[in-house]
Amino acid sequence: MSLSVADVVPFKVMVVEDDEEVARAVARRLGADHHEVEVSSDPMPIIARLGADLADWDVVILDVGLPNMSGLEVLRHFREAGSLASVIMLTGDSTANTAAACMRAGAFYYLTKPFEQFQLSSMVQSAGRYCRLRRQLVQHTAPGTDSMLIGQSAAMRKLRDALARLAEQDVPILIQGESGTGKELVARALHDRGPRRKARFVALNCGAIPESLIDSELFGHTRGAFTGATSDRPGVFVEADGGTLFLDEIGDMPLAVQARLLRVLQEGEVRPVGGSGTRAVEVRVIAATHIDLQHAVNQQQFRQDLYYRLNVVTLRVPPLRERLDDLPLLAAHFLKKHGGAQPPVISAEALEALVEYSWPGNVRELENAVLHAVALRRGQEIGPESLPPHIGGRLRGNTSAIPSPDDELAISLTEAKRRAASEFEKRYLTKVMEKAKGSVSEGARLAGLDRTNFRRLLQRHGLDPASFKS
Amino acid sequence: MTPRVLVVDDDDGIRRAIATALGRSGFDVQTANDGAPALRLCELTAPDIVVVDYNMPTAGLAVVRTLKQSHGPSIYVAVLTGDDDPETRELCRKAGADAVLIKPITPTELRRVLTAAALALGATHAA
Repeated sequence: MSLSVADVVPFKVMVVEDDEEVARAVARRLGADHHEVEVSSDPMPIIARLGADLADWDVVILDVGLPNMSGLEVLRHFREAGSLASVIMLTGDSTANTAAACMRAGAFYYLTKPFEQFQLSSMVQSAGRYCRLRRQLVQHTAPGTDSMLIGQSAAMRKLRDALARLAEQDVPILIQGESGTGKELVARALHDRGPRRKARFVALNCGAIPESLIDSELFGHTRGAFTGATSDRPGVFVEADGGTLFLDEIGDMPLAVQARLLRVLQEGEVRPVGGSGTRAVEVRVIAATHIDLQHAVNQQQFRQDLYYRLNVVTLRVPPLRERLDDLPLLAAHFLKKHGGAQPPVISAEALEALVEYSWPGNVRELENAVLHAVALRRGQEIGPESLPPHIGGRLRGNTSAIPSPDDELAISLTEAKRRAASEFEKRYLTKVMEKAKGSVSEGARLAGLDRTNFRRLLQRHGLDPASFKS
Repeated sequence: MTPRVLVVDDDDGIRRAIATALGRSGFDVQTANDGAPALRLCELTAPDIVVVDYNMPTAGLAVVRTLKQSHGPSIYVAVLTGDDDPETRELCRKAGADAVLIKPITPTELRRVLTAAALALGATHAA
């Protein structure tokens, strides 16, 4: 049964498949469906065409196993090139892992061999339509500095390039970065430059919501569902329907909620707390975290299947200390923002103090420091004395640029606490290993930790178990 | 090695039909709708065989000449034309075409010509 001419929109299709029988069959079927079908048994010319911008296919049918390069690698090239083609993976393996790997890598969908002709036909139709829709929605905005993400450092230019490429692709993105680095700004930039720019952008900080309320914040609740639920509430998924949902601090989401979130992402439906009906939602999810989510998965604090769903692409936002050459620009920006009609200027000494500091709180901490300085300044110039003492004080009376690590007053409270905790941990581990006479298993047992984590802690503090065996 | 064919024709219907006929016969197929993109594709992907229409916006024979100048016998070039007359054939040969195919051409005939061409090239095809 082939689709009638009236049903079918012809698309440009490229079939990358080295199994001649499969390639012939696909070409025959899609040719009968009136598509323009190109075929390649070798992925390399396809990569070359991608690079030369000679790759305007609507649909690419890509075998997972290819000579020279795996199908998933090829798919990665497509994603990185910002191609809008919908890629359908062909796999001979019906395991969940392969399917997950394909979707995770940004495929439109997958077909498991052997597949039915009609499955191929209809999937190519959907895939082609999806591609055309995205092309229509994409407007080419002129490249330029995004005033919300200031900086000319290599790290920021790289981030903006990544943003430009990723914004137009409607895939889930995981933004990784320390706190105070502007992850929400990045999410907004992705939304504003993408196909959903005219739809809603809804942000939710998963870390800021009490565990008891997070379900209803995400999925909504009906009136009377629990004490205090005095009206129906749609939840952020419904609010963001058709647009982008930004989930900040996703690592703080409890496991039970993670399971429900995964189901919503898989099924495209939400069921409000206390309700019996479901509602279809279609949302692009951008998640952010400052923790190492992969590590959390290993610790079983975060679900691996949800991690794969959210992490089609990771976008890393650099900490301020990795982009110190942006500091003068950022400081100038905040001075203009908070300095009133006649913003003050920063003295050379104050700027040096800013550059010397480690900025554990990143750009947010910088903005606070500028606010502090603007409030306390004498005259039109900000000197180191107007900066918060843990920043400005580092150079006071110090001839060397590197402050003494023993000077407790020269570091921030956050930094002081971190160092103290680390020292304490090391002393504790040392005592435990002495008692355990160098046995990692025994040490782990005494410390109440599992062996793997205990060993990792020892490594982190540079403690060699063998040295305790005497 | 799977032989690679580039089909160049500004007529969508013909281009698709030829691409499908070749694709279902085990060839690697690429398509272009005019001379300039065809030449760019040749540079990038080194097809073994090029089937090019006589008329397009760009003159098909210009494409033939360019390809033969840069690749000589290592690319097999067939011209597709609706005119079955001696003058046209002569012009094609002079431009360096290896074959003249008269439209409409059946998939069977096309396959026959191009399979023979691919076999002949097989000895010189680089890995």
